[in-house]
Amino acid sequence: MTRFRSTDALALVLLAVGFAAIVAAPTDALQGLLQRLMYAHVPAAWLAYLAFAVTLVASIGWLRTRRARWDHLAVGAVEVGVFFTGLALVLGSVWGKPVWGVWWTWDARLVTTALLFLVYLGYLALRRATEDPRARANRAAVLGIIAFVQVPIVHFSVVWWRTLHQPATVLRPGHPTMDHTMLAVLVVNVAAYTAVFITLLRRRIALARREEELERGRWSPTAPVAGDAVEAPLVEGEHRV
Amino acid sequence: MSATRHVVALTRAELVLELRTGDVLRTVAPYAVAALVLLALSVDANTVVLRQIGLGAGWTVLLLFGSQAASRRGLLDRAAVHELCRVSGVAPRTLLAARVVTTTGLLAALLAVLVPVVVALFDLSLAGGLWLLATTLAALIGLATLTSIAGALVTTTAVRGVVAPLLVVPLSVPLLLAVVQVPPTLRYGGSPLPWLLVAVLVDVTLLTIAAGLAPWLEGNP
Repeated sequence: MTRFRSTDALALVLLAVGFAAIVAAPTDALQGLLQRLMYAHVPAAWLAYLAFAVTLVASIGWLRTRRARWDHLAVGAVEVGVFFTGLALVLGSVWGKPVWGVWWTWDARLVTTALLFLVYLGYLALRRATEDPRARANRAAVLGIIAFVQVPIVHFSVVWWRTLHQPATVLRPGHPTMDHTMLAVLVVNVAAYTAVFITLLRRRIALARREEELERGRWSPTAPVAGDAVEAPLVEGEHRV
Repeated sequence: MSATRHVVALTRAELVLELRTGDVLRTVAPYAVAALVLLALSVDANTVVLRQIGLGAGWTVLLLFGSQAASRRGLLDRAAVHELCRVSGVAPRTLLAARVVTTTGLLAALLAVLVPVVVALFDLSLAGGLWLLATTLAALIGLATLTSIAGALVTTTAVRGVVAPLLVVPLSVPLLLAVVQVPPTLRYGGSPLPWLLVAVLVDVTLLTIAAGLAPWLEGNP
């Protein structure tokens, strides 16, 4: 069992502060309460980018050094990243229904994000399908590098194509095009979600380490196998050596 | 023996194996044709509607069933053959290049089977032939490269038939878009050059990635 650490406590405190900030934030003149979904939707999307960037670095790290900790970091980051990508998609859909009138539209940002989600689901499927731990880490690292191509496409999709989704308001050249109080609440929530991300990642890495120990035992030629305890019956007069 | 000769020899051996086993042309192709029939039946009997979706439906089927080519058990997916090639000094990039050339050939054959079926079932007009042909060729090379990378990744995995398409399909969307956007662009008097360039850009990106990562894809695990 992973111990409850100060980073976990910090994540919980930051989440509580973030929630309080959302409640206290000014209400949007046009969208009303719905706009508050932004304070979860944007951090989730940002963490998806961050998680897959961590995967890219960890994949390169594995291919260069073959140290298991890079592989643990990569798989942890992808699992958490897939969760946050899914969260961004679901929250975006819930937000889109009353604002756009549909749960889903064939908008460049939505489609590229859905594809990003599928690509990293493929990454996880590939890991599950490969039994040999070393081959698994190798193949996953290669895919972790290839899959990252999708991240800048998702981010710049609102610039490259005419989209229903609004263009970038914070990660853009020049000043953010957002009310300063709202921006402050958003920054607090990004910090809170990032702390949650670090906590989840740390726990997943610890789990990956345990999985590796278990696998090492399973793949060891000297490991006990089922039936080891069963002994052949002795013929009368024979002694066990 | 030069790398080119290695590629030619390996491709020839793979294609001979395909002729014997018929994995792609005698198993995947009829299934793809059945999928096209179902698609046409399920949408509408109206020729105008079918004509509109024909190219997209054809390419979607090629993409889905073509990615099955990645999960076929080719020569290089046999551990002994792969190991023999490696100890004989065949470079990982050469092995991957052989995979790409073989897959391009197999996908072209699958496309050759599907085109007449799509034309017949969906009353598809092949207007703007040269642009469509050029974009199709570029998209075919990109799809083959992607399929080959996926094939190398899923080799010896338990559920390769499912994992390979899952890896190929999301990343092949730009290729699908490039091909299906050519006829409407021509219809509205535009130039399909940007769509051809999209397909070529994806090809160059994928080939560069494949060349860079070949030592890990085809080398020692």
